[in-house]
Amino acid sequence: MMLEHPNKNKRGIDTAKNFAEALQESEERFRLMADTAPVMIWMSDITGSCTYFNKGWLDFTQRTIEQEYGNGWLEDVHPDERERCFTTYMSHLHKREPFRMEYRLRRFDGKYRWVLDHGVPRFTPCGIFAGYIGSGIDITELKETEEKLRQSITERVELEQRKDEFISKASHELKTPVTSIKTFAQVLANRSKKRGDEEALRFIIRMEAQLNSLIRLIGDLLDLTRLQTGKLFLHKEIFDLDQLVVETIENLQGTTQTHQLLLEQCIPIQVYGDRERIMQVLFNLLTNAIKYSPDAQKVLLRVEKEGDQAIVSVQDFGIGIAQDQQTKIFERFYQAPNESQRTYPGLGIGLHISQEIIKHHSGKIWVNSNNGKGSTFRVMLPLQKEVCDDKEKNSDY
Amino acid sequence: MTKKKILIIDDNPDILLGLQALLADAGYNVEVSEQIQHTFLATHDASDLPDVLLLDMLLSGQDGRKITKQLKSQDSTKHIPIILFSAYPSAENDARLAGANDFIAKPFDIDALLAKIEHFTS
Repeated sequence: MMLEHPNKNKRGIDTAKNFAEALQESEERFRLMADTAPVMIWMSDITGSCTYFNKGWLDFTQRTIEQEYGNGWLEDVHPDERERCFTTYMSHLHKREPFRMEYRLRRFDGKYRWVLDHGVPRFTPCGIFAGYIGSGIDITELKETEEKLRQSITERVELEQRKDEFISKASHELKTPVTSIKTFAQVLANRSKKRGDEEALRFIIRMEAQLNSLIRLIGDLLDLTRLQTGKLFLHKEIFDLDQLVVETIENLQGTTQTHQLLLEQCIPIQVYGDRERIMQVLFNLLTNAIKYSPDAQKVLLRVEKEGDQAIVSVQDFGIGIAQDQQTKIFERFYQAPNESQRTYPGLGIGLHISQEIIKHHSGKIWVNSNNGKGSTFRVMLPLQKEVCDDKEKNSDY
Repeated sequence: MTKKKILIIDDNPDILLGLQALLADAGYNVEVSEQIQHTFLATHDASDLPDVLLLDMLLSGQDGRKITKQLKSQDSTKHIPIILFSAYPSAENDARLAGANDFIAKPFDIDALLAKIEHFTS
């Protein structure tokens, strides 16, 4: 038989003592951490019965730990949430799964506060389930802020809807008098022509031109609302872009005595899109070109093909656009920053609408310009074949 | 040759007056009414049927689409070409669904309106 070393037992006692001390220190460290942490911490045993609440919890409820032990803590939970709270807790406990829940917990002053509670299962080093540990934080202010934000978003959306409805109704109301004025003007024009009253006819033609401007303005306001509400419907078909450009020039040339609208280059190109809407874009670009080049006598147009794209360009020799404004001009309600440029009339919606129309044709619109040296707007539209292939994807919206 | 009869129903008297003058100048026999009560729609007078009916989609208290549906469902009136009009251009689809032969948006493109009427009367 071997003799045991005389110090062996002593070493065993020392190890056990060290272990107990280490355990006690670890326990102390946990309690210190738990009691100084700005959260409410709790622990439970394998049955779900709570066995520990930190200082944060007890300070919050100002009840004794004995009152909170077991299921006592449920008395602090709002009666409306008590059952849900307990069920959530127990169902996760059975599955040994972590959970997260929100409930109202009664504070020491009797007020219920919203608490976000996270619970996770605890396991011994051998993997045996030992209960739960959880932490809760007061999220009442967060919830209140969330609610206020939600309310303000709802109000904002309602306000936007009311504004859109108003614009739509106002535009509709404006159309009724415009319709009768236009009809009367046409009757007068026809009768003046028959009588050979040239002067009256000239005035009526001018009146009709102004009336058409008003109609376009009403249309723009309506389009703006449609864009906002996603109700701008397009009626797409295959059409000759070059012919549309020629037609637009012819329509517009009669309204200007100052500018020559010159088609410098034009090749036959077919595109698939809403003919009326593309004409609206061209009309907008041409009227802008005339408006912003008061000292010039011409506007140049080109219809070209670049790879798979049709390009229409409108070049003026007017005031131009500063580099830093060249993307901003397409924004809704854009107004030039420069005082002198603000003297030009307009609501700042025409280019925005044009851009949106082109976007819905899978195209692109942009400008090259230099301050004081004029601008060239380009509209790029995919050629007929490509768009037709993609027809389903880009159908009306 | 007898003039073709156009009946226009709209709740706005100025639009009626303007259209009446315009179409009368274009050679049509024009009747106008602000309410359907004064037309064949209420009197059911078969001798009073128009060659073309121009009908506002939203009359005060009356729906042009319903009237269209009703006329198109009756043997005695279904042959009458009906052109519905509205200040809402998007109403065209509704007009077609109601059975209207054509649609025109307010404010009218006068030449387009005359062309449509001529199409149904020629």
